Amino acid sequence: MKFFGKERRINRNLYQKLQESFKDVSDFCIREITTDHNQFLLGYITGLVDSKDVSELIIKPILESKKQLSIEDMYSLTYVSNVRITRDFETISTSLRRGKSVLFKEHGDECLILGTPGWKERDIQEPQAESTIRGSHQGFIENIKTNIGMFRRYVPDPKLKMIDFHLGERSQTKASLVFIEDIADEDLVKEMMKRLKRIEIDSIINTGEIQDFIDDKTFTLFPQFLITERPDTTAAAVYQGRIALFLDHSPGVLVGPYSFASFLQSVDDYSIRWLPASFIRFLRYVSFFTSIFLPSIYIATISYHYELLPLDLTISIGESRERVPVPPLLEALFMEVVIEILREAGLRLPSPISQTVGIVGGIVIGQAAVEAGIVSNIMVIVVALTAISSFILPSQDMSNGIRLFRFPIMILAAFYGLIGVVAGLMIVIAHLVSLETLGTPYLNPLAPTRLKDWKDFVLRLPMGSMKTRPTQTRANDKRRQPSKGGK
Amino acid sequence: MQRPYAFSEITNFQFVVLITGAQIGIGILTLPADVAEVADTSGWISVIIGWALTAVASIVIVKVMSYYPDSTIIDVFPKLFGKYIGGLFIIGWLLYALFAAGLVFYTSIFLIQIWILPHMPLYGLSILFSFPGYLVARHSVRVLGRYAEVVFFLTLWMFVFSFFLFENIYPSYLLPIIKDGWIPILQATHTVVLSFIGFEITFMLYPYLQDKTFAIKGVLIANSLTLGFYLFILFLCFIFFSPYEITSYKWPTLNLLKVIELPFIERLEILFLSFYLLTLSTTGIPYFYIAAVSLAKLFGKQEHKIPTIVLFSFMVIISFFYSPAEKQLEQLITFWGNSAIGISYIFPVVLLVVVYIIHKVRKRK
Repeated sequence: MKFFGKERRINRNLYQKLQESFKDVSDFCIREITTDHNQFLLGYITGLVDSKDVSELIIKPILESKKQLSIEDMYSLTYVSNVRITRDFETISTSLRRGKSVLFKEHGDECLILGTPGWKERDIQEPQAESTIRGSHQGFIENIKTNIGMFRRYVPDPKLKMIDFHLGERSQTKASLVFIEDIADEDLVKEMMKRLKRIEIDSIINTGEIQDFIDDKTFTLFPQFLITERPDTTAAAVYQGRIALFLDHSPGVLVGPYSFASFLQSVDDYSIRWLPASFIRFLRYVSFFTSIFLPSIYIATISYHYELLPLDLTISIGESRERVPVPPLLEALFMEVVIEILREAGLRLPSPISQTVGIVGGIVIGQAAVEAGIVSNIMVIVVALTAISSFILPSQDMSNGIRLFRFPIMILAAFYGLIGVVAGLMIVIAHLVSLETLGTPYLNPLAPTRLKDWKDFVLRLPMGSMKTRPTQTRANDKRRQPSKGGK
Repeated sequence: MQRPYAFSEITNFQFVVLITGAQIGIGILTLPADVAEVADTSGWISVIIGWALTAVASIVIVKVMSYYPDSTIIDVFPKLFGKYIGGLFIIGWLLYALFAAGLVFYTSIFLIQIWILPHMPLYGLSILFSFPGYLVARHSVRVLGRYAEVVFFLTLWMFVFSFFLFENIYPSYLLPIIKDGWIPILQATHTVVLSFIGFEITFMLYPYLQDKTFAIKGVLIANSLTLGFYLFILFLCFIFFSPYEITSYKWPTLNLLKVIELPFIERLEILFLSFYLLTLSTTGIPYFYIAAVSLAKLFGKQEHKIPTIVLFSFMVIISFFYSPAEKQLEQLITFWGNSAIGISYIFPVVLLVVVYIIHKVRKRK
């Protein structure tokens, strides 16, 4: 019996194999197409294929055919653009699960794989978290091919390379590493590949998950890779010699190496005139510091160094704090936590409700808390300013990170006053200088100081001055524009 | 294995700010008074003489190290004197660096206790400063260099406030240029030279420098930056305070700031001293780093993370049991100052002679 069974398994034809392999898979479908001349079997997974394509391009020609067709005939006759012939069962099964249909004869083991994928997709929209005023209003969607297409419209460069591979042992998510060969540094690409190969996990759902695997340092609040939904941002980064990682069914594209300074840049900076752009840049750096240090400086000043303030101001602060029974630290912690809760609550609610949350939270709680004497007026101002400062940063990841830095520094300020704040600043600097992104210094061009790159740092100088690519990416081709006097 | 320190190369600018950062520290807070006590307002000439001496010593250090472009001084000691005597030298170097680190650490805390937080216990502050210190010192020279760069740019704004002082200055205080002849000026050089100490970290930095041809230029630029800063403060103090007033202050540089009053902020010196801690940290951290690396070397380890933890814990533990009085601290500084002069100015010359002879002898063989 055993011998028999084995024999039969070897001789099983494709049909049986498929039936066995897709047993209890209800969305798998095998359709028999039988005419006077022909008998074919067509397998596909409903929901992953475009049924119109299947009927128009595959079934209809067979039904209308007046002569006997072989698989090879179908290969040359079909209207489907993406086709191939295989005998390998593994390939057939994988293709099916990726939205292709397979055409075969009942007793043959040769099989035609037809690319007829089709599923419902979101339209191209402006990415909500990264909207711009002047920039393009396209955002990536959940299809890697469409995404790469959108990106490619910005980069028709002959040296643009894409390395395809799959991530996740079970999910086999398609990923593509994109860079321009003669700009991007070879070692960076190798390093990126090395890190991506290290990923061992069953499934990758979103680009964000990759980040944790390939970060230089995971124990940090600062993002080391950019995740963007904008094709123009991605293209600009790739032109600077950075590397982009596209992931199927995720609108976020991962870009690296990305330094601290680049996180404070936005595409809009380049589409408005350079003076206002520089001013906005400068504001961002100011808000970076205020959103980390403002509450702690306030706490330090009123608990230890009120002599720093002129008398009038001290008195008015004193009056506003008169009825508050708690020390400044608790007052500040309370308000900060309230604001964080409000923010998180507003984030996931539909927008009409989130507006209500804003009004109820901001006005009612703020006003009522002051009147009830739980917090002082000035503390409300400080906390509100801090929160708004963190919103000005273009990168969500960055503002999430620095929000958390506030709390330990507030505690230091409560214990040590201004000295605590400065110690906090030292810790922030110490942390930032030890960070690296894809092996390049995170604080470039501040440390190591590259004065050449300061043209696009705190200020954004006119485009004409941007003659070289940033040193961060160690680009092979350093020149962006011909310098004066010829090449 | 060819270039053991290539992984952590530093740029020219990092080389310069590391040295300048190590030089500018506590010294300048008291320097105007110390100098004025001996040489009156002619003291600035002593500063220039001190700079010249330092420049020579720095060049000598670079010359010594250029014989061993891929080694720090703690690698050179065993090469020159063999394992055991070399080890003794490393211990000496370790003690020197540790002493320097400890003095910067405790003097900073002491300053804070006097000027800002009079009721804060010593151990509280030493615990506080151990964290940022450890976070930087446990890394390689490259990270130290980046830290020095950031601090350099973050502290530049402090100069802006000095313009508020220009309302009432009397440049005539500086006259006559040479008040009591040359002898006091030369005597004051002894104090001045102490404020220039810090350049001896070149012994450790040299192998990391990417462009070795820049080394001599680098040490000269670093020393000149320091000189420029010192002269600026010195002149400011001399023409702002009268020659009699200045010697009555212990920390004239801070008293200078005490005078500035803005409509929205008073007691500017509190803000300044707090921020000056950043500059002080670039003085102390390289010494902690050197001590930790030497300790690691003694135990034959490559990583100096654990030695750094040990050293900082040591500092914290000491602070629980021993809080030096001002007088004791001063005595310690004088004692350390003498050894520092020996190590930074005399030792390099001796070493250069030794290295030169050894290389001559080896060549003949």
